[in-house]
Amino acid sequence: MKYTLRICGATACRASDSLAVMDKLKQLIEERKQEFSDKGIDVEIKEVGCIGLCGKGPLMVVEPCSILYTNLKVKDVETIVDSLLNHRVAENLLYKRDNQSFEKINDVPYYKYQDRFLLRRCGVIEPLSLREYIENDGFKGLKRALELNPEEVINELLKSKLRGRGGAGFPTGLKWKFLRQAQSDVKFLVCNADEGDPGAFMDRSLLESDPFAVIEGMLIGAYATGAKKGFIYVREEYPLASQRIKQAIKILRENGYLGENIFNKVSFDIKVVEGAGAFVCGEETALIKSIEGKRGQPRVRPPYPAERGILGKPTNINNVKTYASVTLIFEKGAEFFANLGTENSGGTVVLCLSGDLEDTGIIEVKMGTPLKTVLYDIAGGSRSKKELKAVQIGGPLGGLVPKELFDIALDYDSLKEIGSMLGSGGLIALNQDDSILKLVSFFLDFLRLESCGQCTPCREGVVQLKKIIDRIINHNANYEDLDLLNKLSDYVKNNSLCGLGQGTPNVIESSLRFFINEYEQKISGPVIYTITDACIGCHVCAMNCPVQAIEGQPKEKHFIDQSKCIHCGKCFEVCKFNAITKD
Amino acid sequence: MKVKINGQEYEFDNGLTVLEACRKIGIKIPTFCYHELLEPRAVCRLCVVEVDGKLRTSCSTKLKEGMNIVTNSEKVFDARRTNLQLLIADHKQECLSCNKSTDCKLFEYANEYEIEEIPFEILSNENPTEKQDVDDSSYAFIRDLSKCIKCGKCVQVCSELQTVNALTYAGRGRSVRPSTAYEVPINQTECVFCGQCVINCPTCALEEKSETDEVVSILNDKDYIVAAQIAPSVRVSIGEEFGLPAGEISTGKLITALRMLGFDYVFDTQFGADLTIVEEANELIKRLEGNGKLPMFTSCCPAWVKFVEEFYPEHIENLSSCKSPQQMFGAVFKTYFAKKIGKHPEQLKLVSIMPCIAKKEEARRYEFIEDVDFVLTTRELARLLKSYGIDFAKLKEGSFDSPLGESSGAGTIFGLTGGVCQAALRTVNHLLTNQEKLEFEFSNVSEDGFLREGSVEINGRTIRFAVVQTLGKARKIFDNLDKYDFIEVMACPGGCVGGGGQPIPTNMEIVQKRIKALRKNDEMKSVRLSHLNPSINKLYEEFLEKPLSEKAHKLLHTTYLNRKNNRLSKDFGI
Repeated sequence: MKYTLRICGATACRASDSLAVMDKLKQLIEERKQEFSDKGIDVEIKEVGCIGLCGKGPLMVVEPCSILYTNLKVKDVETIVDSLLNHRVAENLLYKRDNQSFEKINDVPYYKYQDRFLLRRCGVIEPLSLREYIENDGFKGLKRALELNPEEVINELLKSKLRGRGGAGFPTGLKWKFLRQAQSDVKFLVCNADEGDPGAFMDRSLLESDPFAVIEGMLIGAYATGAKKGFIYVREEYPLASQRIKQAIKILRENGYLGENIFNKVSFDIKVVEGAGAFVCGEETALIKSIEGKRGQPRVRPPYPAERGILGKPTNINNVKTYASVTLIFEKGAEFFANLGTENSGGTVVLCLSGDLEDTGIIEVKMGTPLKTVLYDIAGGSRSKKELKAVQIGGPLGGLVPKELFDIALDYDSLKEIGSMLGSGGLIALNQDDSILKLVSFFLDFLRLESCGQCTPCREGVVQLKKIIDRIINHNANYEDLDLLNKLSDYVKNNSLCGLGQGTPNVIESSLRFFINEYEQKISGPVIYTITDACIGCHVCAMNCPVQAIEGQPKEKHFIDQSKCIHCGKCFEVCKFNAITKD
Repeated sequence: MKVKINGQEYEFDNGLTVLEACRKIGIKIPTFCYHELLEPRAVCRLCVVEVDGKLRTSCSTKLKEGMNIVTNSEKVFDARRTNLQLLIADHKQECLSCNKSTDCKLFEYANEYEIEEIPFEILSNENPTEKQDVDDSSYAFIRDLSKCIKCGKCVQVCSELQTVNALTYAGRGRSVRPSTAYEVPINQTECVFCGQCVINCPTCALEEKSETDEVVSILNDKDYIVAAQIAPSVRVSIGEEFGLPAGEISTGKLITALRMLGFDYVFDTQFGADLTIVEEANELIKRLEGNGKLPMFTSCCPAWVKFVEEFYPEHIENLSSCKSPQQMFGAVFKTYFAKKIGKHPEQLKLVSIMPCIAKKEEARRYEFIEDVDFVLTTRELARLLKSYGIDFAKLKEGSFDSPLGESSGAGTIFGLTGGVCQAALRTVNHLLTNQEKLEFEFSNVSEDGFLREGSVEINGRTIRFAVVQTLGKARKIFDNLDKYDFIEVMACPGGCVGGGGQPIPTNMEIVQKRIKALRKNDEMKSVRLSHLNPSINKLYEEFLEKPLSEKAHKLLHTTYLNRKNNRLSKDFGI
């Protein structure tokens, strides 16, 4: 009898100490190896990539029965070893939802409703094992692609309806066609792994968990477009991803999958470039400058990178998931891929779930899957058991989807229609108590700081947008400010140089569209005072309250009876312990 | 191709941008970041127009057949107004006391677009970084970031036009600023002080370091005899500051104005230029005979000299050892002239009127320390005249004092690109063949006209020369120095007429007019070869003996410094 333990060694699980769990496991099994051999049990421990349910990490899957263990701690290791020796399931480590335990990973609702295609090898194979990669359909796609001629490869890609997964959703086949048609002795292919959206980490996960798949997609791209040199641009904040991809490149080079005359058809090699972590470097012209060693800031287009890219040579830039999708397309066929999706875009959607959800992490569903399936069936609804009020989708440049629209299909066009966007696929769930305005303020702060500062609308405009939002949050604004907010958002959107500035007002516009009541409450509604846990019970506020709305025993936390409160703010003024907040 | 602009059909050549087309037919479009010689970056976003219903930056949008362009719609107007309001909210408004407010583009556009109130929060007091706003470490210019509108033009001219890269962007978001590497003071960097950043700055974030107060105080001090020397290109540009058309020759008025300010003597830097040519031509002949390195570089542009010292110190020997006309003049003034009027050099003060801010730094080089006391740019002088209530346009024509006020046509053309080369070749040719040849043809001219090459046969020896404008182009010649015997480089486009101290605006159209005026001035001169200037000959007879004499060497020639990686020189700012 042989058990294989797949332990997640990707960044999220590492952050909750999965490596310590793994070490302890190895140590204990070694200590008790006599017992194992007496019972004829063989145990193999594999460090795999991201298993996906990051919010409940560290994760482990026990093969051959595919049992999922969650929230592992070093102290749980003994239980695991005992369970293995007794061929039993460690009940207390199983995944639970609504008091029901699930043994098999595929029965767990989080996985049951997913369609894992791009992620099919993530958390399954050892990321840097070329043998395992090939055993799990690796390089099938490349081989199929090399049987076609480059034009046919591009046609196949167009047929698959693959659209760029970086956010803009431009048809990948067309992009490749432009590069193929560009006349130049040198052409470059770039993989954009400068994932910067707060709350998005699927590119990192793919690079860490299935690096060969990304490179295979690039190889197909090299063959189709005629590029001989490639770059993978990874942000420096992703040390593990960058290290994995570098090792993967080395392994492929040693095995003849990178370099001169691969399968006598294509010559291609890749260099990894680490960015310094500027959000704007995900914009393709900024990324090009950064690769050239210059300050990463966007430039006007045209000329597009397909005409003038790195060092002035034609260049094509695609997202990590786009290349991984290419690999899938040539492995399974364009038709298969197209059928996964909707009329206008083929394939699947990879999302990063965060916010107030029972289960958070990376998931993959077919393009066009209703949002509510993701929120309720996969993620299990609100973790705090409150009602969900909205999701922010597509990162800082995306928009909000209110609960009334949770039926919406997850694809480029449906989301665009309501002023949101799929973006790179970050999804943040908000419950009824979360403040939309604070979310807007948070994103504006992020964008204000990440603006490259070149163009006036983005540099100055976003600062002013944030000032207006903050005035509103602090009950310091009137309806004229709301008009100004509208006008300035419109200005920034229509006048900024690059996608970052143009996309910044999205979150404001969609919050105004769906949550104008929250704005109005702040502008014309009363200030709500509440007492926090910092209260020491000095009673001063209660003594000063003109309407006796504050109750509480001395030396205990006090409360404000909102039905009596006249919002005069006296309590806020007299509190010496900063225990009263206004909202 | 045919396009529609504001409802009317127009026909244009291929390849123009919307901005260029609009300017051609007399439609003014406001810009901050646009520089006519450089690639449009479209970052200030002020030049937006409607192209087929959508807002587009006109500087970066190429004309296309059938385009429908609207420059005066409500949408365009609104966008530009908002842009200006955002900038003004983040701009320190000291317009009443600001030296550049009359030349300030932000001021100008705010008026034109009737900006009455700023609906945004005023941010100009919130310095987003902990860095100092003001850098006044150099003698040439002052940077004040609180007035910077971050158009990035200074960075672009520094890196693309001049390839000096002393200025770059630092920071993100609102903290973005033009900065030196590691934020060191500018005098510790490779900056050559060409001043192209200063003249291109739309606001007063970059400004020459004014010396008007010092000049006024010595003019009022009766203990000193104060003289002025006027650079060639100033006489064809200063009129612009007083409403005269570009390219008007106002030498006479300028002399009168300086006398009204209280200068005791008004002399001509062209005298210094003639002297430079006599020395430099003889030096070139000597080098051609095998005594010294070839090609010989001109050394009259201080920005170019520092450029060689900073980036190509291995070629320092190629630089002519002649001081620039400003410094030669100063040396002669403080010795020969002092003796002539029987004064001690310390009783004499010399103020140069220059089109250039690098001349301020040059005058402070330790090799030259006593030659010139103060340097005023064209702009500073104009300001001074205005504050003295001098109505320049109405002044009578004055004339230079003797003997340092006499000059040849060759001295005049020092102010324009190619002039030094031409003047030197005139003298070399005459000295060797005794023939008067005034023009020397170029056989090869680069597309932008900034690199011109030619050759001339003198006494059986072919002299191959090159004339370069801008330091970016100058870098190119180092690839094949063997091709040349004599190279003239001027850091500014058009030469000194386009210098960093000239009136604002200075653009290629205006520069061409100034060049034309100097050419005309040259033609009007009776003597057009430097060494035939009688005052120069007298100077040699009475004082310097002969060209390249020991005395001439001591007074008129200099040495240079390897500044590459030379921290010491940088720490001392020399």
